Amino acid sequence: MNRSPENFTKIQFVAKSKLYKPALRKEFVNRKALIEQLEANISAPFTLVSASTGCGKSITVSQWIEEKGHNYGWLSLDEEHNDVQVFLTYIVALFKEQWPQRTFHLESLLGGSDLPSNLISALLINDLDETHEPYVLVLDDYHVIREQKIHEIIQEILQFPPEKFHLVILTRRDPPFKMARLRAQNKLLEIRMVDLAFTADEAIKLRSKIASTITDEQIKSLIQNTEGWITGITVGLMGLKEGISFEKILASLTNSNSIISDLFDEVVYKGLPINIQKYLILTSLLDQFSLELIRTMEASIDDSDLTQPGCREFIRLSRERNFFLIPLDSTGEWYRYHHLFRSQLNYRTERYFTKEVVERLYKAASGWFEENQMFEESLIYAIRSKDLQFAVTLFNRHRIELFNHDRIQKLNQFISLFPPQAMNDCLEIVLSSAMLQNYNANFVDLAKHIDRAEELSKALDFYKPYDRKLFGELHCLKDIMSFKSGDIERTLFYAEKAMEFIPGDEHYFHRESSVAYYSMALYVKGLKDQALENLDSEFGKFASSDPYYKMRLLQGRCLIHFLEGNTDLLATDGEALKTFAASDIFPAAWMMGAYSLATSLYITNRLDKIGEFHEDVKKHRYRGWPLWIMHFYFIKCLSDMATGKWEELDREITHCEILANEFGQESIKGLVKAFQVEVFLRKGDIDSAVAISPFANFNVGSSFWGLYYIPELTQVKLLILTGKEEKGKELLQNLIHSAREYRKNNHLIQCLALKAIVYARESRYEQAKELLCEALALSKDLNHKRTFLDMGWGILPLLKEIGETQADNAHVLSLLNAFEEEKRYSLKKGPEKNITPKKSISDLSKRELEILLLVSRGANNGEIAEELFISLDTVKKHLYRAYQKLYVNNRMAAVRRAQELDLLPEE
Amino acid sequence: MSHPHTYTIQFSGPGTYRIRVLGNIGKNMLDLFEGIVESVDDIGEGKVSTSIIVNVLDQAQLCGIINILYDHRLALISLIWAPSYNIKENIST
Repeated sequence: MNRSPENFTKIQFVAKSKLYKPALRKEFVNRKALIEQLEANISAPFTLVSASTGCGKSITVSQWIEEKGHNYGWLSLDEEHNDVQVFLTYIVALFKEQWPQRTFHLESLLGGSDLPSNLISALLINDLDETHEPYVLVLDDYHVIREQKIHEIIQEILQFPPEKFHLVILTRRDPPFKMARLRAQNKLLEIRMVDLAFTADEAIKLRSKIASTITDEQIKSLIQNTEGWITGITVGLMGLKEGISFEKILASLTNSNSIISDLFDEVVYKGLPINIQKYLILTSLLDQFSLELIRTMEASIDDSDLTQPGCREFIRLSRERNFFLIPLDSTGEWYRYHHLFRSQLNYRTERYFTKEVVERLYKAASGWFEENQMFEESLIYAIRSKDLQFAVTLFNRHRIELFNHDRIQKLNQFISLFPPQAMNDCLEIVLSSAMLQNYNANFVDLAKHIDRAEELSKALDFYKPYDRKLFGELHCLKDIMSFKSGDIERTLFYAEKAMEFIPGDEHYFHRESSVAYYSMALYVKGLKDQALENLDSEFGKFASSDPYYKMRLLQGRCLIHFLEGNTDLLATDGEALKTFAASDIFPAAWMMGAYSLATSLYITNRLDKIGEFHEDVKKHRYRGWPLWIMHFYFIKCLSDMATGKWEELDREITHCEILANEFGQESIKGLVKAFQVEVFLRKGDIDSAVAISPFANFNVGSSFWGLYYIPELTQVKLLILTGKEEKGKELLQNLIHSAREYRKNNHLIQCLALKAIVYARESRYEQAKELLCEALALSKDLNHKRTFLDMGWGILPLLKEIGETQADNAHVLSLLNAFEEEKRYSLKKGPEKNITPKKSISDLSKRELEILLLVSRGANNGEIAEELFISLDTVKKHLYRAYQKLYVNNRMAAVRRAQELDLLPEE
Repeated sequence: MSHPHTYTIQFSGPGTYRIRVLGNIGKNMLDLFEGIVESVDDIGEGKVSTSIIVNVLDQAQLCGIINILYDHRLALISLIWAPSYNIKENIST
């Protein structure tokens, strides 16, 4: 298998046969009046053709489009289109056929999670609005659509239709739209059964095409008894041609509208050789068929009636006798049967083929589709063959390829095709589903799936190569779980086993995941060089010639840089990853690259560059891994906060909320709420933070990768500010412990700085300085700045003191300079009143407040020292710190500011 | 015609219904919803109507049957709840 990125785009996910307009044949009667009616309505946005089966809906609309030469897209809907993602994929495929060079807004939604209908319709409308030529979109067989969201999308488009757009819906029953409103607004042309009914003139034309002998009077009678139903009239005429008496046909039409059923044997089967009958049954098993496909199927069963000359004869006869065969393309390669005709054939299947033979035929069809790279069809027929193991084998062959290409949403979709028991019984499906849960940050279900996979794996034979790979996959999942739960030895053990069981030439995704976790575990053990070497030995040798390996190598390196908090390497490797992954080929990897780069820029306080590619991230927000996308948004929000872009911040926060709802995963929604709590805390709005905190999820499980924003720290801040100091401190201590153990410098620096602030609040300045010194020492080489700046002005006095006493104080001085820069966004110049901090984590300590209170009552330093039983120097020190925190330089200003901030009572 | 016991009809529970359609019903179609033909009546002008009895598990199944009739172009004359009809008894007779 060639894994170069160019190859990935060639994977077929759209069944082209569903995009064909029914081809027209000379046998069809031209329906001039209807065509003109349709044409007259082209300026309105919508035509509804609603009629029962066999009324000629598709053929009429096909004739209109062809005769008038409209630009069109034709989508024959079926069950699978009830999945909004599948529906959108096909719509985009149609647009791409019409405008191959264009990119569409809608493409950004492909591969995404649960999306709101108004967003989809808005993008769809935008895409169509940018079209300068008229375009007709035909949705055939719309009655199969049950998904409410698709109905909503269509209705919203019809409410605000693009100028040059016309939608035609062909359906057997009316869609659940608000039709009265559309009628009142003159937006709708309805073509119903009575409109589609054949007139006498049209029936006469049909007579000449079928070469039937029937009088005009008889035609009238036929029309009267069929209400002009085209299929009834056609069967009647065919029956006459086959020598059935007109009386018998009429009697049948009068007392049974199931005319095809009644006349089927006589019209269709009369005089047909047995082999042709068998071919009819065989082809009726398929939704669509081609000559080549039939040949593959006949070869799969040992049936002397089905031989190659018979196959050709069958196609000739089918055309000649009009077996209600609908050509699907202009070259006459693909056909499908009329629904009614096919169901009549289906009823007779058992007469000709045993169940076992039918299953073999389905399998053969599945194999043919697979060979022709039409994987969806091949999987559908594999499942129809009732041989679940066969379907799983097929799925398994492709699932690895899909994993290898990061096609996560597609995998989700395919898994949903299987019957529910497969989720419980088939190891491959359980394993795939488990990996998807990991991608969705759903670690509870991941654990459950691992347990189930463990049970199922007992039946595996360790010595079979295929089974060993499955063992490998299971171990790969276990190494993820172990790493997450902090068990590094087990991570190494499982990852090593996974790498041993999974060969390097097939299960790339799982092998590479294990390599990455193995390397991360080595890093955590303090073996950073070995970790990077391990990545190099796996990918490095191919990286120079193959972008795929280069991409995986960079991904692994970025994961380690995150843990280490190495901003330089995050920037260089992130940038390279972004380039190699390319947003449209490996969106998840690209997103990781973008996030790495943005994080590095943020931590090193180079904020102006973050916005540059945020727009790009927004475009691809539905294509990556939701967790990473959310974290990218957080970086943008933090950057807006730091630069005082409060309005932009509010917008981005709203985006985050919308996006989390669109992703639909509870864990992600909770994560966004946790981040909102953080924002409120930074704004000093504790009431709002407390109010939304019950909806927040502070323990999403993302922290174990070392991503920048730490929801658990938000929880610590909230606990401390709401009087639960002990609990907050305990949690903070645990976080420090975990960050030390995992060598997550990035997290450790944040935790230590926060703890320093907590000590300072308690006036334990020496301990505070000690912790801060440790954080500064760690951050010096890694060039971390924002972590300190984000702690707010409360950290300033501590920093100044450290700066004054340290010999090598370049890092501290650069931070103090950054604080000076930051002043322009400080509370004083905040654009809105509500963002002025009233109370924050870096607030004045209790002692400082006591002293300020006495100052406000007019006490001098000596009186204060006496009152509080402390030395004069200590009073001065406390006052100096309070000035720093309040950005003032004298005692009266300090009292005024403290009163403004409600820290002291007004006089 | 009013039915005194219609209050016992359940939306999500089982029920028996009598459905009358214009014309004949083929066996294949009958098999689709496991109904039985109660009678075929001459309604004049050479036309017949067919009365069928169906046992359904709930209204969802009933809705499915109506769709099948529609898809086979059978015009509906009436559909009525028939709780007292015992399919098993009538099959055995």
